[in-house]
Amino acid sequence: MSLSTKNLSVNVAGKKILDDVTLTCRSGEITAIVGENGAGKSTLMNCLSGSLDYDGCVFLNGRPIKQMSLSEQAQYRAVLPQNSTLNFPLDVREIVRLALSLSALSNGEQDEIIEYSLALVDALKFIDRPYLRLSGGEKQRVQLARVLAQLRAYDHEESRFLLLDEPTSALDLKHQYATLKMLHLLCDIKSARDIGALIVLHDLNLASLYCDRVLLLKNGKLVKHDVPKVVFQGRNIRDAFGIDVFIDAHPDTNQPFIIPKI
Amino acid sequence: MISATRSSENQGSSVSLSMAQKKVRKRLIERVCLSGILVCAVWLGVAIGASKVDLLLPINTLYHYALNSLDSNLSHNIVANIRAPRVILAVLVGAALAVSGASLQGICRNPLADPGLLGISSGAAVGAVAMILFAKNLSSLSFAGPYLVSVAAFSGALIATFSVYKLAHVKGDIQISTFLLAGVAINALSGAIIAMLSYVADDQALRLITFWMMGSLASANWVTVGIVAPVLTFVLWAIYRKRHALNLILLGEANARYSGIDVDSLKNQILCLTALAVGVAVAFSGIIGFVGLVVPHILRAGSDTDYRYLIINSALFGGALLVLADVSSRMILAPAELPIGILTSLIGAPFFIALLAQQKRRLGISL
Repeated sequence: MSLSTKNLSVNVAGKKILDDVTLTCRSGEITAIVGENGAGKSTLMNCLSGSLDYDGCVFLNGRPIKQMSLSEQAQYRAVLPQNSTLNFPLDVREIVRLALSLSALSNGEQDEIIEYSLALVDALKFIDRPYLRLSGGEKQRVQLARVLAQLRAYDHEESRFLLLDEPTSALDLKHQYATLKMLHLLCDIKSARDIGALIVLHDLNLASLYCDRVLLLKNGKLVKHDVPKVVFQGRNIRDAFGIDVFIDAHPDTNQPFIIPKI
Repeated sequence: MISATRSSENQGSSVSLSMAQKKVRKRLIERVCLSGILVCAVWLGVAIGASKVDLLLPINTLYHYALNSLDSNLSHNIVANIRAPRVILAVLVGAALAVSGASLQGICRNPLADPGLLGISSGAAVGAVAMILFAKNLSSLSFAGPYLVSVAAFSGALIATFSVYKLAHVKGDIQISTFLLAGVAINALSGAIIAMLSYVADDQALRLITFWMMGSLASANWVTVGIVAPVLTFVLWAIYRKRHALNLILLGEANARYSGIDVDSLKNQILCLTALAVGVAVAFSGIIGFVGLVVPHILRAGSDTDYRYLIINSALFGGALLVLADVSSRMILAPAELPIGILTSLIGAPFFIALLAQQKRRLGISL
């Protein structure tokens, strides 16, 4: 099954933020959304997550999301926005538990999912710490754990999707790669979990190494939608970002490795 | 991969589970302590009078009530017909104000929200005062008086609530500064209307109006308890049902929506419920400020913000606090009574100032 759009457009004050975007993201794959600042990446995310009004259609497992209730949508897709602020003291465990609070799980089942999700993002060691005292990167990992837990809160046959808006923006080098690797394993078609992910990324090398497909946006238009080897070519990157790059092959995976020219 | 992760986390989880169990025990102890405080407060509220303190009085009265021999004893009569309804009203009003404060703080995502500061209480007072003046001219309606005053206070509270909320709501978020300023504006407007109504009122009505403004539980009787109890019980139950949604909205409106909460509908429901609670509370006890601010804050500092526990704990602690405040207000100037609203403001306002200073430091922004 898939998360897809058809002729998706967004107009704000007469300006086209998204222009006739048609795409399909299948479960079992990670799709990266890349593009320069203001290309429409977050707007596309907001449309897919149903928090922005749009022209055209967004389908979740074949059903238009406008016909699904918010709680139904929450059972099939989980969203990590760019920023999450909190004004009240909560423990890390309680933050992650929030993702499960509308489910019918017992306390024991909830604890298991909470600990599993925190372990996935290497945050189990601060499970009982106050969230507000964590560093920026630690907070971002806890929020990601919450979003991962939401996908496990409901037991469904159908595919589920992760929508992550810059999940690595505050992370150190080790955790950037560890997080993407974890997501890659989580979405792996062989894992039989039937999960797909859409990730807004600024680091093209992360996208190239760990994502199955890449969406390249420019001025609200979808200019490329293909595997990293096809999208990450010098000409495409120059057109989309306005910089020249060397493209090499990563010694471990043979995927394109992008080095900006100076 | 799952098995690998699980084995690596086993060690961590055994440690953290015991932490979680400690938390469960702590919450249980808290709940028991708060219930104990409430029971003690109610006991004291019934036992302590203007003239003397008799700790056995509540038991004696209950005993005589059971034997149907209340009439023979004056102090038993005082307890049964004056103190008992007054204490019950104090519990209900305190619980309603505290829970209203806690849930307003939740949907506004701001620990400074309080029905008094936001002008909801004074909005309710405008409705109540207007109805008192209006109903005086329609003496045939006097039997419906308490009901009409409640409805008017609720309407006033509802208008004030939605005005202040709409004023403070900017692009899906509540700005602290606009929020408090909107409360100031609504309070100023309500104050002006009440001043105008007092100017045209006669002596008797003026006394009543002064009573609303200062807050007092002296008018409590079984009829008022009969009106207030079902309404406030309904509000507490309805807000408790929203505990998970209130928890999720702490993460922000967008995150709550992604988690399946209809945020706009939740906010409207909470605003209506708090307006109902505050309106009814004000109709029978006048303006009692700062309970909604102080109670949830103390509970958050002591344990946590989880609304699964915060709502009930706020109700217990708010009820106990207002009963104790009422007892103090009866004792400080005995045999005269200090209006309870003055007492809560005297304690609550410095608390609010301290909270404001702390917020300023923590957020590092100009309020």
